[in-house]
Amino acid sequence: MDTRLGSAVSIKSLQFTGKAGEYFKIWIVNILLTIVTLGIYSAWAKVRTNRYFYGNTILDNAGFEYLANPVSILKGRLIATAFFIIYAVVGQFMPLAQIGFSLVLLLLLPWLVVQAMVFRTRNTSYRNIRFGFQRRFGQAAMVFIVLPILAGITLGLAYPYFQRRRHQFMMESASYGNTRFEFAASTGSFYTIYLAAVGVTLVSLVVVALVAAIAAGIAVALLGGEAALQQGANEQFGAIGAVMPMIFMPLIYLALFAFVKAKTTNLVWNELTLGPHGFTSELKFMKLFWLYISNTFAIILSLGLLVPWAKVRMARYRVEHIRVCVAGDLDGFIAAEQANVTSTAEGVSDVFDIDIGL
Amino acid sequence: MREIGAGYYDGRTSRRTEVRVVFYRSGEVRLAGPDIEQTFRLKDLTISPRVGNTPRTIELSGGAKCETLDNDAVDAVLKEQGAAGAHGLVHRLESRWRYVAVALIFTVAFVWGFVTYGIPSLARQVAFAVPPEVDDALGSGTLQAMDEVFFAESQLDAVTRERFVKRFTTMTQGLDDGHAYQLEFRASEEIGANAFALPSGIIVVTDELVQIAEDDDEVVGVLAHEIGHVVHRHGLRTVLQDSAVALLLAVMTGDIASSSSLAAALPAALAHAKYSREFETEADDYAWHYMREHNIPAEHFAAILTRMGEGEGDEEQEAGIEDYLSSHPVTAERVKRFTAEAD
Repeated sequence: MDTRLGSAVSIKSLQFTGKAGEYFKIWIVNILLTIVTLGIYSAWAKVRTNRYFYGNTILDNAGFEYLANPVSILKGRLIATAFFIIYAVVGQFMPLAQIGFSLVLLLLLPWLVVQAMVFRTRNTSYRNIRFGFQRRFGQAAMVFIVLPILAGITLGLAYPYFQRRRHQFMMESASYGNTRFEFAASTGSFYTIYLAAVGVTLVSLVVVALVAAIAAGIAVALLGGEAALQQGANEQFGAIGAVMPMIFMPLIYLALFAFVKAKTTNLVWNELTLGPHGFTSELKFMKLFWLYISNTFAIILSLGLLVPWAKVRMARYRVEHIRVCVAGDLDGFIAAEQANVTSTAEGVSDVFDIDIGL
Repeated sequence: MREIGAGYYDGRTSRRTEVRVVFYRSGEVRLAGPDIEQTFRLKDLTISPRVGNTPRTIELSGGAKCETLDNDAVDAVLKEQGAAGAHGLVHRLESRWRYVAVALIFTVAFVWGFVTYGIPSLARQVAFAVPPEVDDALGSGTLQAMDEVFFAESQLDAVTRERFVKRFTTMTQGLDDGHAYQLEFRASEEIGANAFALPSGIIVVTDELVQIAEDDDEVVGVLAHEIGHVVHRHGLRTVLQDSAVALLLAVMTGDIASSSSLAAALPAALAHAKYSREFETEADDYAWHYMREHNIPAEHFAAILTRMGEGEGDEEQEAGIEDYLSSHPVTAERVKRFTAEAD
């Protein structure tokens, strides 16, 4: 984070004013109306959901606004559904054609990602100034086709580099009004995160193996006694040994995911600047991990009814840990000249809306 | 008249100006603040739909906007002027717990009904409308894959195999449903006594199954069950039903790649298991009818089922929680059916 000389820097936090009970009502009515209208209302449901989450994100007394037109989203969804049906039907009769289809989709990926970002950012405003996203298709092709292949060829060694390039592309194509975002993180800082992640995974595996061995030993002793320890121990050991991975592997995966997510999010925000202003983020890996686990259990045990609660909870945590280091005040932004996006591109790309997770 | 406080943003810079907005009964709207004095007609303004208690936006002309937290006042103004509109209706549904309760009950009932009856019914109709060649595509490659992993060449003697192939041919020759029925024998230590049907009509029986059978009719019962799977196109229907459940879950949770996808895997697995058990029962039905029509005592099927179950420690008599994830109905229930009905 960079402080510019000459202006008083004040730290402003973001607040999330959404409430689980309030969102639950919106969520359930969304589902009801979507079912009753055979899915047509889903476009309006998405707009309402995003208006709720954006509108409840408050910075310096002003909220964010989601401005997308539900009709564009609906058109996009209808087109995407048609493509999906064609893909499925073609796949049944001509499996080779389906491979061709997938390849075409892969090549189109950079274009789709850019269009989705354009749609999302241009339909987001703060203080009546819209965000924007530059269309740099060449860069997008490099970042979304070439670099992932490179990461694959190098068996993952180039993956942190790919992530740095990807975040850089996303951030530096984005703008607020006339002002472009800037991103200063080095490749090295990404490698640090991933190396640490490997370390965390190894430690977790060791811990899990120890716990499993101890638990299995206790279980066998309790269930069988001395005799069992000699005869059937192997069988019971094996059974417990088979179940343990099923429980612990998803947990380890989730821990790894939470670790990388927390550290990467912090890194990206910390190295991001917008004009004279900077940002900080301090997500804690353990807290994020706990949120994922408790949310998953809550959703399963409530048969899905706690999904809105989980979403609000996660949004609140992520929003309230971002701070803006404001140089002076936020009044100095100027609107950009807006070019028009065709509604087909808007709508279709919305289906591929990718959560950049900030 | 009503007056609210709002933030005014001209849309050219990000500067915020505090203003007061006054709504008159005549439909006139006056905006007042430092350096700003503007008058509008309410009908020329676009007011955003209310979503919870998020800031309400009033779009003025020229790209400027006002943002206010006083949703209730704005709602009152709109009501007075008769301009609440469809969005007001949606917000009303979302704000009263009694409507929400109705929405909840309806949604739960619908989802349960759709998953239990709607999806299977639709899948059945689609499956039978589709040519049998599609089934062939579904199973192709499976036998080769299993030959590489589980199966070894059958060790049964040619006479035994010929005997069963003959019976099998009489079982399938009248069917005329576009499937190329074929009986295959394999040896498999890992799988043991069992039989499989591929959607194309190829039915595989393991040596071990033939060996534990005490009567040819027991194997015939199993063959009938497997033929039932093919006749009723269970392979295709499974694919259709699983896809429909996945789509329903995606629509309901609102996203395709959901962060709660781990939580969504469980309902999908439960639905799949339930459908699987229903298909097994339908195949049992086919076997039962076949045996009855050909005067083969139903106990033979019961006997071999029991013997197959014994190898796996499948002795519980009552359904437990873990059976909800089971792909087959409880063996004891299936056996009971084939012995009771025989009386």
